[in-house]
Amino acid sequence: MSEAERAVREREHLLVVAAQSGETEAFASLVRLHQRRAYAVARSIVLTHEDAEDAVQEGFLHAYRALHRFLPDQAFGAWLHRIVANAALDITRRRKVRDADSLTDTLASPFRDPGESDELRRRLTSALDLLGERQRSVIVLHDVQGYKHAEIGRMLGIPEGTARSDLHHARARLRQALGAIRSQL
Amino acid sequence: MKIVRGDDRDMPDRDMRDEEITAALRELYATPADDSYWTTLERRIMQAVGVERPREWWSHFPGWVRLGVSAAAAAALVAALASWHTRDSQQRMAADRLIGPASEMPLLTESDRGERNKEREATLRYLITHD
Repeated sequence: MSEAERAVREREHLLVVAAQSGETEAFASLVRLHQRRAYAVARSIVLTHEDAEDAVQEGFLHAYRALHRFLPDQAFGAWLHRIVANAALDITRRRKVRDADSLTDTLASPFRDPGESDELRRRLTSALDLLGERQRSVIVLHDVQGYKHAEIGRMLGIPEGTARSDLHHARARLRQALGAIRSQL
Repeated sequence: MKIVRGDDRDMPDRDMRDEEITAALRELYATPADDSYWTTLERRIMQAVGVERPREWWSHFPGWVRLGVSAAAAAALVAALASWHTRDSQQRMAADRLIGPASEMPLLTESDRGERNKEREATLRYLITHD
C-alpha cells in the first residue's frame, strides 16, 4: 500500500469512527468519497440511471443504519459496495418487467447514452438487453469497473467460478451480436 | 496498448473485438461527469439520512420549554424529598406520644438474656436428672 493510499485509508477510518459516534458531517464526507464508485456499481446491475440513483441512496441509507455494526478496521468501500449491490439487485428484482419504450426513453437522456447516434453502441445496448441480468452485471463490473471475479462473486452473492463463466458467456454473446451487426454494416 | 482490466490475464478468449466492446461499454456506463450532479445526489442521500436519524423526544420542544421542563423536574424532586422527610418526623412524633419517648423504654441487654437462658437450662437439667 502506497503512502497516499495509507493516508486515504487513515482519513476514511477517522471519518467512519466519527460517523459511528453520530457526526452527520462525517457521514456526508463518506458519501462524497464513495458515491461515484457506488453509482458505478449500482449502474452495472440495474438497467437505468434512475434505478442506479435509487440504489445508491438506498445503499447509503442501509449503510447508515448498519454503521454501528461495521468494524472500522475493515475496508469501508468494499463493505459499502456490497450493500449498494444488494440494493441494486433488490431494485432489479422489484422491476423485473420493463417495456421497451421506457428503456429507450431512459437511454436517450444525456447521462445514459452519450453516443446514441452511434450504431455500434445502440446495438450493444440491444445486445446487453438480451443477456441475463447477472451476465450483464458481471461483464460491466469486470470490463468497465475493473472488479475481479472474486469481488464480483461477493457482491452478487455467487461463486467466483460462476462469475468467471458468466463473463465468458456474456462476451461470447456480445461478440456474436456485434459480429452480426458488422456483417450488416 | 492493450488495457487489461479486472483479473483478465487468465482469460484466453479475450481478443481485439472484446476491446471494442469494452470501450463501448465504458461509454455506455460512464458515470456523470458534472460535479453539480454529485452535489445534488449527496444532498439527496443526506436528506434521506436526516429523515432516518432517530430524534430524541426532547428535541421536538424549543430550548426554553426544555429548560422549563428540567427546572420543574428538579423542583418536583425537592418537594418529594421534603414531603417524605416531614412525614417521617410526624410518624416518629405520633409513636412517641403513644408509647412514650425512647429513653424511658426498658432495655433488654444481651447479657440479661444470657443469664435467663442459663437459669432455664439449669432447671431443665434438674428436671431431667431428678424424676
